[in-house]
Amino acid sequence: MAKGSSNIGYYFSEVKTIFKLGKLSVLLSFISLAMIFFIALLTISGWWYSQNLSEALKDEAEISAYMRPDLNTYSTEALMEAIHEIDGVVSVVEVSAETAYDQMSEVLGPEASILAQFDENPFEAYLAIGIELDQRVGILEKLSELEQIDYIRDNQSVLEKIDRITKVVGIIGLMATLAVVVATFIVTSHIIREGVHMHKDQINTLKLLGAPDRFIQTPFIMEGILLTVLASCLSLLAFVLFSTQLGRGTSDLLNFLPQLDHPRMIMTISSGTIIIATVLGLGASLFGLKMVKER
Amino acid sequence: MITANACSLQYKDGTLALKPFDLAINKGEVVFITGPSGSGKTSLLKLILGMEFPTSGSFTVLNQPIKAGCDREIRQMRTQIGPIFQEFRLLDGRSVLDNVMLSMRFLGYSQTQMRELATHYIDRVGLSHKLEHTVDRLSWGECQRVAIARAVVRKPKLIVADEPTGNLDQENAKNVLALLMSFCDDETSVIITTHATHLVDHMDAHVRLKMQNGTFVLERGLSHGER
Ligand SMILES: Nc1ncnc2c1ncn2[C@@H]1O[C@H](COP(=O)(O)OP(=O)(O)OP(=O)(O)O)[C@@H](O)[C@H]1O
Ligand SMILES: [Mg+2]
Repeated sequence: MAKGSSNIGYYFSEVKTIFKLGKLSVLLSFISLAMIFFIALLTISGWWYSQNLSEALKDEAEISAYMRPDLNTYSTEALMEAIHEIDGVVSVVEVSAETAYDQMSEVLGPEASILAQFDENPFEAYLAIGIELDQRVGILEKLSELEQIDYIRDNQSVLEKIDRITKVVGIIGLMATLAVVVATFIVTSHIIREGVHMHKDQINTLKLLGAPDRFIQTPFIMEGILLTVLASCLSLLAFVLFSTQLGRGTSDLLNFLPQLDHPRMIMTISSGTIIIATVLGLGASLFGLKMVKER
Repeated sequence: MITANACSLQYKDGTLALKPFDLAINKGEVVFITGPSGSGKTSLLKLILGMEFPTSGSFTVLNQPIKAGCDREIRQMRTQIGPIFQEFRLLDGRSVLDNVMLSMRFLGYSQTQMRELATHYIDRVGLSHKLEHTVDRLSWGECQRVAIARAVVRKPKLIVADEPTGNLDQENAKNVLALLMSFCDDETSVIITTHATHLVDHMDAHVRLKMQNGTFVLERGLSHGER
């Protein structure tokens, strides 16, 4: 039986008339769905970014320990060994004053010319201590007991802040996703109900002609899926434009931060969004149809 | 084809539209249901289409009992009926062809089959020159013929027409009745309701139901198969 295939054209023309009859309310729901999706995309990508950032920074977690100036090579090596013994220390590397200078000029890039203003190298030699972030407090305590160390520079509290921000953004992202699910469900099932209501006579005629429910409902289900999927595509388009623009604007500014894998994020988020939109559209239209039936 | 045993129909508001009756209509019969307004003609057709259920007794159409809880089966049974409604119930904004094809779409026909059959029957009701016209712009009589084509195109076992002579002058009314009766054959019964008693009194029929106030007198004319 050629039941399904021979009716594709009919179903699409039905969807077209459903959209046409619904005009303004369909358009408004479409726009609100697109905006809901857009906001969700922003929060979710923000969460993704901070997650990636904090992961990347964690891998590079380091404490800089500056030695007393009177320390000789021999005792420096002994000190490095002692530090290595501490629990949670991953690596200890001596960074000479020259290396420190080079690193900074790399970070500064074109701005490095200001370093030439100094007559002498303004940097000191230090020990770069790679650590496991969760052991940070204990390590700092142990380090402060070592008298060969002059002072410690620890910028890891920044990392903890980022970690906390990631968690908060994650919660917001989760709530945004929840809001999208609920709002999409309400908006879509409402619009389906409205469509069914406007086509009451036609639906009754079809029932009297003996049409099965599946045949009657298919155009409405297609309407729901089309509505959510097209709205999500529109929001994705806006999101991609927005985020690449934003990326271009900030990449110069933040070039010392680990680079975000932008194309991969866009791919993952796009496919995820479209899948979610399809499932939501299907669920919401079935729900909308069920609501009509029960009344 | 249709059997009723002590069947009655009372609407929710208490109106007793059909008082208890027995009825048997066979395959291949032409049935005229006549009677004044409000006598229960449409109510009987509603029972046949499963739009109402009997309040008491039993009513069976094409072997399908008409009763609550059989929604699916009744819907399936309807695919073997070609209904022509008093208000036609065509789909606005669609062409004549689309409207006629509609009643076949869920019956497993291929696109080509549907098109061929629809064109054939549209031709038979004399509207082949308006195949692609939107039904909104057709005259009353033309709409009626679209409705007839839509009903008969899927070769139903039962054709049911409610008041097909309603708005027509005598000449056209006769033509429509003759057209409808032409679809009656060994397999297909045709049931027609009308006010116009004077018109159908001269026409051949197997069964005449003369309705009055929810009861009817049944007269058998031609015997089954004769026409
Ligand atoms: N849905 C309904 N609810 C309550 N009463 C109804 C309903 N439909 C019809 N009736 C009543 O049932 C009786 C029979 O109505 P029906 O429509 O069967 O008459 P009819 O013979 O078709 O009349 P007409 O020739 O005017 O179409 C009438 O008294 C009518 O008022
Ligand atoms: Mg009537």
